[in-house]
Amino acid sequence: MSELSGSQYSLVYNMLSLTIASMGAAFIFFIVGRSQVGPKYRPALLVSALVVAIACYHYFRIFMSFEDAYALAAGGSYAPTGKPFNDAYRYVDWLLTVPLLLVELIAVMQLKGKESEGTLGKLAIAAFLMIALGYPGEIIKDNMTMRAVWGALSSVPFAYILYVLWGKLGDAIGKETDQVQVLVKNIRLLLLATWGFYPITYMLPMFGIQPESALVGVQVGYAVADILAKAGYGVMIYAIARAKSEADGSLPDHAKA
Amino acid sequence: MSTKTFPSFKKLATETARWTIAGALFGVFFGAVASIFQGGPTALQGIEESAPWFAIFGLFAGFILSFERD
Repeated sequence: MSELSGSQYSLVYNMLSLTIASMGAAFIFFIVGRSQVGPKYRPALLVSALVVAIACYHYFRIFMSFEDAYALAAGGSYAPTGKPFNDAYRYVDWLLTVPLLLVELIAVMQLKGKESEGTLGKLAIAAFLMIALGYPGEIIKDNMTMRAVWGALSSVPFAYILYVLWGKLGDAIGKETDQVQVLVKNIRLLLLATWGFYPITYMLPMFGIQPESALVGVQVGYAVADILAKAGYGVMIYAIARAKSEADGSLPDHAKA
Repeated sequence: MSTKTFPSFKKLATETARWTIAGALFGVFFGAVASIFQGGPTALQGIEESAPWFAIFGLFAGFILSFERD
C-alpha cells in the first residue's frame, strides 16, 4: 500500500462516514415508511431496509479497517501501518444486496401470472453471476488483461438484466398509471446509471494511474454508487409503492394526505 | 383498522425479540459468507463481528415495526 496525502485520506474517510450515515438514515426511513404504503407493497420496503442495513454494516467495517490501515506520518501524510486495508465485506454485501435490489423492484411491481414466472429467479441468478464473475478480477492487482477478461465476463449477466428490465418489465409497466410509469422508467435509468458506474470504478486501476489515486478513486466511486444504488433506489421504490397504493386504493387511512 | 398509537407490551416485546433473533441469525450467515473472500475474516471471527451488529439492526426494526398499524 502507498502513502496517502492528507486530503486523499480525508476524502476517503469522509466519504465512508457519509455512506454509513446515509445507509443508517435510509434504514430507519424504510422501516418507518412501511406503514405509509399498502400492505402488499410492504415486503419491498422491508427488502430495501435489509439492503441498506447490510451496506451500513459493511461500510462500518471498511471504515474501521481503513482507520487501522493508515496512521498520520510526518508532514501531514498518512503512511500504511502494515495492517491490511480489508474491503472483503464489500463483495459479501454486493453478493447479497444486488439480487435483493432486483427483488425490491419485482416485489413493488406486483407482477402476476406469466409476467412473473421465473423472472425473479433468473434475475437473481444473473445478479449473483455478475458479482461472482467480477470478484476474481477485483483481487487481481498485477495482471490488467485478466482483470479486463473477468470484467467483460461479469458484463454478460449485466446485459441480460438490462434486457429483462427493458423487455419484460417494459411490457408490464404499460398497464400502470402514468405516474407509476414515469417512476418505473426513472428507477430503471437510475439502475443503469449507478450500475454502469461500478465498471468504470472497477477499471480505474487499468488506466495506469498512481496506486494511491486508484485506491481513493475506487473507494469514493463505489461509495457514491452505493448511496445512489441502494438508498436512492430504495427511496424510488418507496415512491412507486406509494403511487401504486394510491392508484389501487390500498393506501392506509392514516397515510392519506 | 386499529387506531391505537402505542402497541401493547406483548406486541412490543414479541416483535422486538423476533426481529433481534432474525437479525442475529442473518449476521451469522453474513459473517460466515465473509470468510470465503480473500482478506476476509475467519468464519468464527466473521460471525463474532457480524451477529451482534445485525441483532442491533433487528432490534431497531422490531421496535419500529411493533408500532406499525394494520
